[in-house]
Amino acid sequence: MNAIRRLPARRPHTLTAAGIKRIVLERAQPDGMRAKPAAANKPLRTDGLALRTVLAVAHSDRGRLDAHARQAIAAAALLAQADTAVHLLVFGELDADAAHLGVDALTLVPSNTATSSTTVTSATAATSATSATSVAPSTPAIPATLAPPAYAPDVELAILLTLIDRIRPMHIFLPDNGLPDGDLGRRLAAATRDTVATHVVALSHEGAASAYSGNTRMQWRALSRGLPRIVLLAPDVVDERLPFIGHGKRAQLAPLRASSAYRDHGTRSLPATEVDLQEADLIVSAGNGVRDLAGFQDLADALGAAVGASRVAVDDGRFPRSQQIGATGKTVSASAYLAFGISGAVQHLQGIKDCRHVIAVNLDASAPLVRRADLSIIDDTQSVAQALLAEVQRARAAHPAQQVNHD
Amino acid sequence: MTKLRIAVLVSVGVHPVSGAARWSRNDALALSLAQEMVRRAAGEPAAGDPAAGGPAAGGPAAGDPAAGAPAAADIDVIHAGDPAEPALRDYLALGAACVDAIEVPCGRDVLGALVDRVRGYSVVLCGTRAEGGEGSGLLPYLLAQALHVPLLPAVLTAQLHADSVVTQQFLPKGRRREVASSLPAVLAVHPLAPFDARHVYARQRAGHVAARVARVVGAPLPPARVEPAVVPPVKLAARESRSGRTRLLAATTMQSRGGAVITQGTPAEKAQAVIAYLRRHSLIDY
Repeated sequence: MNAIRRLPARRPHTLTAAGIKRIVLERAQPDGMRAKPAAANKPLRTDGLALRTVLAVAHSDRGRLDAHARQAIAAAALLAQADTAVHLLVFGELDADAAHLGVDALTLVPSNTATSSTTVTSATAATSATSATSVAPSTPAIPATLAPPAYAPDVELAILLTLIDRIRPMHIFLPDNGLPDGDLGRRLAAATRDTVATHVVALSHEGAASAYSGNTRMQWRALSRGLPRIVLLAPDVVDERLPFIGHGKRAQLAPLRASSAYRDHGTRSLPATEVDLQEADLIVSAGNGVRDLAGFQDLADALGAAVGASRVAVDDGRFPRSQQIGATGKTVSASAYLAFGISGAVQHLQGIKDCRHVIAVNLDASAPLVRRADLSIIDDTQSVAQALLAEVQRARAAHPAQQVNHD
Repeated sequence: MTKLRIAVLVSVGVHPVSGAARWSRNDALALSLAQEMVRRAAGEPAAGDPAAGGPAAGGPAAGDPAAGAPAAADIDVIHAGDPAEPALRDYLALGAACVDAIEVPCGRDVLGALVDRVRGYSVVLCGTRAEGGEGSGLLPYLLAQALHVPLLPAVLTAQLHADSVVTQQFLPKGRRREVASSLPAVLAVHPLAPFDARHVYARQRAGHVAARVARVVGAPLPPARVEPAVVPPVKLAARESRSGRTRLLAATTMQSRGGAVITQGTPAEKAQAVIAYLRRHSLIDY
């Protein structure tokens, strides 16, 4: 087979005004077509009969998988052969489409607390259009709790072992992320005594490489002989973008009723002021458009959010350098990022690339941050901040935050 | 009122700059936590009270022993490896009266010797992962599995009761979880746990390292295939099948994520839309 790609000699071309021939590399598409993500026309990874299985395990947070978990799933999908199915086991709910994660079979294990996010879907579906829409009425629904599910790793391990016993996966991929998944993967390795590689920094069909610290300043890597059965991946080892989709079928698992040896006495959050900006879950951030600093601080306190700032606001001396977010400041990974009066320079967008939900309040509808944001409010930042402060205080008075106790 | 026995497993660490053998910070945290647990159980005020406002703030009030708390506890510091290692004396300086060093030859599994040694202890404390070598963090899990006891990972603070232990667990994003289990238990201490031990040279001179012979011979470990990391690791990615023009477009233009844009309405209505969005994605709980 000849590896050289032959190009047709008479490719479509256009003539410029100067009479120069320009080859058209790709059929021109109207703008609206190009803006759409091209996920719909990805091919299936495999259409044959699955003889073997690889398994990816992840915990979802409020229905979403984080980038680390998606990377572990992508690793399973990328390393799977044509006759291998990718099975995904998720503890918690999953909002995303499993097929677009490259998953052929999906098993969901709902968490054992009442963290249902299905109650607030009724009147808020109107804001999904990309064009300018009118304001949706606020829903008086009871919001879901923020607390993570109760800690019961032995029950999760029993579920995982049941699934492994059923589908007999060749490899099991987990993100090595400390508590939920890194903990579960190590419990699995201890229970099964299978081959395991932790903190994997590079992997291929031939094997996995883990970080290894010798007694010199040089960095070392430990190599495994062949790909181990349990692979715990370090972050950013795998590119999660996949050129294919999976079947995304639901696979049921008989519910397992087991009691845990651990008693969860509940979770509490530290006040936002005590948490590092990189670790904060909710951040309100101010840019050049924010002039009312006292009102902005009141809003952050009412929301219980950490305060960030753009480079312009920091250079002006309105915020300390430690609160700067962006390429020269901090890179944050909040679940919700509220940007007030920030246009969104590339350097700032770099700093918020790991944020899950970005809400922009800006006077300029053509600002780059509006394109990045999941919800954009085009208005004066000060009036919106005041209105939001009043709204938050009203909502807090109406729904006092419930204390969750798993006892 | 029983006397609890606490075992702290220590390893030889690696200095982050020079690479010299020294005490391991993670294991020193475990030793520090063990001393704190004993102080609390005895009803003395916690040593690091001003430091309690750190990452582990808000634990149960110090000097307030819970009902049924054990009267006292012994701390045994145990190491498996080479008893002649001079770095072990660092743990004496950090507050250990004596270090029990079980002799396990290099290249042998320490798990069997440790399981044999810590059987019968109420609480086994260790760091999350070793500083030298692979540092997989698997030892506490294998130990708990072999002893058939619960394992509590990522512990910041712990409080002993008569037949249970209540630990504060580190979660990311500024959250802390309280998890309790029955005794005996294995506790893996989180690297961000409060550390208030001091290096006292006199204690290092006064204490001693007791060498023991392992009663269980560990299995030989498979030789590690280790290579220097001279090139950065290759990221596993799907083969790029897009044309050059598509890649150029993707790199130079920023596509809209398709988020909602609200231009009409009063500020109050827009604020309600923000609140509705936050509620819909369970980002706020009011």
